[in-house]
Amino acid sequence: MKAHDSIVGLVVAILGGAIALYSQSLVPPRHLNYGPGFFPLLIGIGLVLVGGGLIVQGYVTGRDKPLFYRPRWLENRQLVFRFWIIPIAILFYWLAVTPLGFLATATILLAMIQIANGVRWKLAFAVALITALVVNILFASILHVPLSWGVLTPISGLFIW
Amino acid sequence: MVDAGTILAQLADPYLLLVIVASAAYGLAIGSIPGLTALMATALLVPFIIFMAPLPAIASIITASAMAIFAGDIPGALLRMPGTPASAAYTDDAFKLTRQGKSATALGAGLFASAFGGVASATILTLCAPWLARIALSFSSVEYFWLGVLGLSCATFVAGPSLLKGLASLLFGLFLATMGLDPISGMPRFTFGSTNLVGGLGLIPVLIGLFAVSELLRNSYGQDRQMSEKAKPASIVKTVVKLMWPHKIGLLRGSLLGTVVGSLPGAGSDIAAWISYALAKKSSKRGNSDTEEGAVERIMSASAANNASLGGAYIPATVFGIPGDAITAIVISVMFIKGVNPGPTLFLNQPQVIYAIFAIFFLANLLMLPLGIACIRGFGLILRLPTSIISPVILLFCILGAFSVENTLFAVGLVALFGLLGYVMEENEVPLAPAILGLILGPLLEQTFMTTMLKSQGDLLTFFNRPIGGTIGAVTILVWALIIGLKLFASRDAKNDSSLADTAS
Amino acid sequence: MNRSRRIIRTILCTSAMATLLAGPALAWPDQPVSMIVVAGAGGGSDFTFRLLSRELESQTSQPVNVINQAQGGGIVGYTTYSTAKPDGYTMGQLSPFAQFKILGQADFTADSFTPLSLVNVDPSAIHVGVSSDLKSLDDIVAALKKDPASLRISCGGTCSASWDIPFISLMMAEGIDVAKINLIPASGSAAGLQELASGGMDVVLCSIPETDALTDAGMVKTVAVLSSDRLERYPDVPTAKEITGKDVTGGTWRGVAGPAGMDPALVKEIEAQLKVAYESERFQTGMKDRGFGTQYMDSAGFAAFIKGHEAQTKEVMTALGVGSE
Repeated sequence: MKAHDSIVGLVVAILGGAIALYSQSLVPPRHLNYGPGFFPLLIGIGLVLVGGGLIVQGYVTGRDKPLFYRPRWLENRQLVFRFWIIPIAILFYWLAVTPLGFLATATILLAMIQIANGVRWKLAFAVALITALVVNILFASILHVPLSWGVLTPISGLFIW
Repeated sequence: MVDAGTILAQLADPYLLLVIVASAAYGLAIGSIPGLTALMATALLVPFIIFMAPLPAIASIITASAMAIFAGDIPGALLRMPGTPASAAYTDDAFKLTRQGKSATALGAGLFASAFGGVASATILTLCAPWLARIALSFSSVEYFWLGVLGLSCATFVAGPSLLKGLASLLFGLFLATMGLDPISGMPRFTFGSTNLVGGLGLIPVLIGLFAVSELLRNSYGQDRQMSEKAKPASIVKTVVKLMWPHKIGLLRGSLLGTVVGSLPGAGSDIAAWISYALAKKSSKRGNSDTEEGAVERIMSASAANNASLGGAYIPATVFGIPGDAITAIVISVMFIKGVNPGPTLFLNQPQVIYAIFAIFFLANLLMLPLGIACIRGFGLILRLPTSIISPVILLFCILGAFSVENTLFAVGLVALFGLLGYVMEENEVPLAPAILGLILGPLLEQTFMTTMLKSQGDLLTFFNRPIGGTIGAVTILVWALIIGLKLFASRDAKNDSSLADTAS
Repeated sequence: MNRSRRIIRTILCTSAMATLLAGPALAWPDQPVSMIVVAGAGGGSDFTFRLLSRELESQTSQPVNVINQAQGGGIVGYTTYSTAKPDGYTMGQLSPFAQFKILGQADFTADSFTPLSLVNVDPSAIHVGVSSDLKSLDDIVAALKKDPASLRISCGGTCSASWDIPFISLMMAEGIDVAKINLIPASGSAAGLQELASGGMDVVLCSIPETDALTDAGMVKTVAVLSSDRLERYPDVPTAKEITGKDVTGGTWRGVAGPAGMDPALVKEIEAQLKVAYESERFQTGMKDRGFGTQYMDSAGFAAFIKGHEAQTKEVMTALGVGSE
């Protein structure tokens, strides 16, 4: 995951270039001297300069360093899984919460990560369900956060206090 | 001034006291849960208090917001997941102390400084609110622009070892702030046809992603790493009382600065905390050192500023009805709705109400000490549970926290994206705090710059035409020149041991 | 395993029972309603809709959840509810919206909504600093006639929106070259008024209650209100019509709407509930205490009203030379 400073600089500079280029498509409407593209242009130029600085700095100070450094944990598949389960869980929540409802989605999400972390699955599900239930009651029923009720929607009126 | 007895009689109402204690507990609970923020605590309270009697309603929201802003320090110090954008400034300092087994010092310093800052600003508020408000109202877009540029210089103090990477992070944050509708012409920028992007990137989901989720990712593969050192609650009072006196200057400076910055409409607790942090670091030897003492000095200055600014924000809020930040905007709206229409006449016609509000703010900050200690103790207990169970729950709160502030699922997606991004940035030693600073200051800078240009029809000299604005402008330019000069010198010295990257100040 | 199964079974049983308890399907609503507010928690819009929702809740004994989606000036909120299922369970706030399409920010039009009822109208007003050379609307008109770009005018929010569109209409009626007027957006009326107080602005456009505090402080003066009659709460503020003779009115308004394509029978039902809520004592006094105007229009009236809003916005924005068309 760790890259050479020059690579970091290159990424920063490319981002800056893209921003600066995009800013040119933003034309000032009416009689404005400085339009919507002005700040993005400055930021883009700034990023290009900083990125260029990083490339040079990386070249000067780290010629002998590898371009990419692969940390040890990446070789352990279980650890890699534990890492990726987190963004996957958020993605799962994003997609599932509307149809399934918060209670079910949160239970699955919590159990899924706990099991990935090596918790026994019975315990994981019990903890997950209780936590999801408590959170659902506190935030949806009492604090009225508009969490999705999914399949429970038709009767959810009874659970909003 | 109004008779103190009348005010105390108002406060003696048991129902009011119950509301205050309940709101305090609520504010602390929400603020201390990683992923749940002070803004969320305040916003979720609105439906409850909107139909309450005026005094309890206002008391509730004032208490909850003060508590939640302090409580944001707790996950920041123990888990490196700041609960508010304001605590992001000193999260690294506090977490470092925790890693050394000194969480009691880190949290105690934050707690006592918060309460001190709050009480100090309440005192200033009571004594000279109308007078200070007049000064605050003389600020136009020029002054705000310079204040924003001055704020940007704070980034160099939290940039970590590499100034260039710090600047890259800051610029990236500024770029993120430009996404959405341009504040002046309303033109969509970097939206690529997406309605969600038209709404821009919310500060809270980005904050949660960059700090909290990236920390969860980092912890995910470190098998033997404990979530955190346990807080030693018994020693908090003893540890910190000893620390208060040596750091009195930092505390006073933070409180004063916080009140002043907070009293400027449009500059809230986060900007106050950042500027105070930077000042602590630059203006005193102690604050600049890498020792425990230095960290405590910085934490105390910034924490004091961050709660003091809340009090300061009530100055323009109560006198002119103009909010300082998103949280005070909600507080003011509640005052309006409850018929306590902020304005100078409030001081003439209903002084008992306005001074009761100040008294509540006083009370809330005193209440913060015992309840805060209880909260830290409870938090420490929860952290004894195994990481494998705690971390998924934190993740759920991160999702919930982002969703409940923005009310869109898009915010949940942002949390995942910025979690990964924050992880990659940290791995490559790109600091996260400057990006948050850029995201906070970006809209202020752009709006004030463009407004000034529209007013002067493009004449750049306006930035120096007004007496206050010109002065702040000159100071700002001087500060930036000094920073860049110092960094250049430092790097020239560092070149000898061939580590250009190590330009730490 | 047994335990978790039992828990699931308990939940299923409870929910089945709950369905039975809820009884036979009533008329609208038989489940919670989402009310999307296109402004943040605590603001004027939020307050109006929470007042209204509280009445709906007690009338129908179903929760009415106020959901704040203020991102992108409300574009996100409008999009959410105008693309929802038109089943009467997702509704939202409809306020001046026509500028979004013209500015190329969004693609909804009057046809994207089913207007249900209008509940509030707040006229725009014209404010100046007390120490300013401008003392009246006549002074402003005279100054703009001489040089349209001579005044710095704050829109009290984004431009091409509720407060400045009627003002520009008025200036067009006065024969001023409005394309040259120096309109300056602010992040809200509070920010605009702050600029006025600090001398950074000559004129601010926003509603009157927002200026109460600064007027009391002797810093701001309201020179005219853009309504057909003087407001009950501010009998000393003249209308623009009294001064100029031109009958131009406008400002912001708030109504309830649903997605396009709602069943007319359903619309009738919701409309009836909204009318009861609007007429309730608590809604009326709540609005009055806060200084908000109340005005009711039913679904048909509101539909005609938003068509008129679209036309006025388009006319003004074309004259200003803004927008993609």
